[in-house]
Amino acid sequence: MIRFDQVSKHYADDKIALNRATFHLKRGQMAFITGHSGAGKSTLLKLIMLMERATQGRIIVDNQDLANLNRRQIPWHRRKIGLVFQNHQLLFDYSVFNNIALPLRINGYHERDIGRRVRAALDKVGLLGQEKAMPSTLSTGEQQRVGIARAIVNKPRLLLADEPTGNLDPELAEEIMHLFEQFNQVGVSVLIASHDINLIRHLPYPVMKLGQGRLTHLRASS
Amino acid sequence: MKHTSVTPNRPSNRIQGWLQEHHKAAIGSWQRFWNSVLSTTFTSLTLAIALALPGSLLVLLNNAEQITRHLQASAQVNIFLHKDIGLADAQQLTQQLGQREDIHNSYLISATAALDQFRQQSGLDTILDSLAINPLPHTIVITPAFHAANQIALSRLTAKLDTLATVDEVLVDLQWVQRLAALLETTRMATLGLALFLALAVMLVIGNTLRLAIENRREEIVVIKLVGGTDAYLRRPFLYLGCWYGLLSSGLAWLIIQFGLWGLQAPLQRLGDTYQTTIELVGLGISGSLGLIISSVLLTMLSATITVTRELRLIEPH
Ligand SMILES: Nc1ncnc2c1ncn2[C@@H]1O[C@H](COP(=O)(O)OP(=O)(O)O)[C@@H](O)[C@H]1O
Ligand SMILES: [Mg+2]
Repeated sequence: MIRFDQVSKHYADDKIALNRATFHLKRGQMAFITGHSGAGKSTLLKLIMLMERATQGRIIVDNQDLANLNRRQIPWHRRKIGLVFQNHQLLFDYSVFNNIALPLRINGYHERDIGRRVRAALDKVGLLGQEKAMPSTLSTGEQQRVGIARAIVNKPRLLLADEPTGNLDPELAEEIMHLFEQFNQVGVSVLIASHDINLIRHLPYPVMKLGQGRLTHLRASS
Repeated sequence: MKHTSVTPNRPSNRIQGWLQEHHKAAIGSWQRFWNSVLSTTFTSLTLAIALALPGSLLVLLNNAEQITRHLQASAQVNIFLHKDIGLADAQQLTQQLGQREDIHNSYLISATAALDQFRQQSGLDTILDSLAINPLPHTIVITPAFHAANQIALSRLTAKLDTLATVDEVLVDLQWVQRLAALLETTRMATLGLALFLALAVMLVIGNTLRLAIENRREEIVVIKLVGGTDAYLRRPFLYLGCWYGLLSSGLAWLIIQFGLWGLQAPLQRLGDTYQTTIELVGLGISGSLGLIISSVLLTMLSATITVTRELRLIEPH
C-alpha cells in the first residue's frame, strides 16, 4: 500500500527531517512509527499526504508514484486516505454531523447518502445519536472519535494517524487503538505515528523507529 | 476492502451531483451573505455608489446629447462679402454656392435687406437714416449638407470659402453648439476614464471583502484541502458570494440612478418651461439596466476569480 524507497526530506533551513527512509506497508497491514518528538514522524505522514514533497527517493502509494502527481491531482490522491490528527482539527462552528459529512460533501454525494454514511461512521466510533451535538460540548476522547469518524466516513483504503492518542489518558488511548484495530480487521491499511511506546509495546503490529530522520525496523509483525 | 458503489460515478448522477453542489454553494453563500447584514449592506452600498456615479453621468450625457442633437442639425454659415461687390455678383455667387456638393442650400441677404432688418430690430431709424452710405455688406447664408457635428468638414468648408476673393469674412453661426458638442464629448471621455477607475475600485473592494471572507474560514479550507476538496469546490462558494455582491450592488446602483433622475425631472421641466419646451429625461431603459447589472456582475466575478484563486493557493495545510 505504501512503499518508501530511500526517501529523504530536507527542509529549507538545511534541516534533515527524514534521511533515506525505506519501508513497505503491505495492503491490509497495520504498523506503527515511533520516535521522539522531532524525529520526523509527522514529516513522513505529510509526505504520504502530499502536504510536503520528498527531496530525494521514491514514494509509492496505492501503486501510484507520488512524484508523478501534480498539484491538480493532489485532491484525488487525498480522497483515498483517511487522516486522523492529534488535535483532531474539528471545525467548532459545525455540528458533529457536518464535520463528518465534509469528505462526502466534497465528493458530491447525495444528501440522503450522506446521512446514511455519517450515521454508519458514528456507529463505528460509538457515538451514534450525537450527530446534532456541537464538538465543543464533547469530551476530548469523543472529539477524537469524531475526528476518526470523519477519516473513515469515505471508506478509505488507507488510514493515517498522527499521534491520535497524544492528548488522551491511557484508558481512552487504548480504546482509540482498539478502534484502529477494528478498521484494520475489515481490510483497511493503517499507519500510526506515536511516541507512546508503552501503548504500542504489547500490540502485535510492526513497529518502525525514527531517530534523527533515520528509520530502523524495531520489530516485524508477530 | 470492499467498496460500495460510489453514487456520483454514474453519469446522470454526476450531473445531478454537480447541480446539487452548485445549488448548495449558492444557497450556502447566500446565507453567509446575509449573516452579517450590516457589513454586507455597507459593502454593497459602497459598490453601488461606485457603480452609480459613472452610470448616472452616462445617463445625463445621453440626455444632454439628445437635447442638443436637433440644435446641431441646423448649423448655419454666414458669408460676408467685400463692400465693393455688387448685387449681381453676390447673386451669382449665391447660386454657385448653392450648387456645391457640400452645401445644402444658400440664400442672399442683400445689404439693403440687412439694413432694413437691422433698422426694424434696433429701432435706430434716425441714426441709420443719417448715414450717407449703407455700412453693411451683402451676406450669403448657407446650410452645409453635412451634420454640424462634423467639425472637420465644417472647417474645411469655411477655409475654402475664406479663400474666395469676393469673401470678406466667414462666420459659423452656431459655434456654441460645436463647443457644447465638444464639451459633451470631453465629458464622455472623462466619464469613461472615471468609470475605469471606479471599476478598479469595485474590484479592489470585492477583492478585499472576499480575502477577509476566506481568512475567516481558513481552518475550514485547510480541513477541506486535507480531505481532498478540489480548487473548484473551494472556490465555488466565494465566487457565488462575489456574484451576490455584484447583483445586490447593481440593484442599489439602479435605484440610485433612477431616483436621481426622477428628482431632476421637476426642476429641469421648470427650466424647459421658460423656453416653452418639454424636457423628458430618459432613464437607463432595458438595455442600460441590463448593461449595469451585467457589467457589475462581470466585474465582481472577475475580481472574485482573481482574488479567490490567489488566496486559496496561499492556504496550504501544514
Ligand atoms: N515546515 C518545516 N520547516 C522546517 N523544519 C521543519 C518543518 N517541519 C518539521 N521540521 C523539522 O523537521 C524535524 C522533524 O519534524 P516532525 O516531522 O514534525 O517530527 P515529529 O512529528 O516526529 O515530532 C524537526 O526537527 C522539525 O523541527
Ligand atoms: Mg509530529
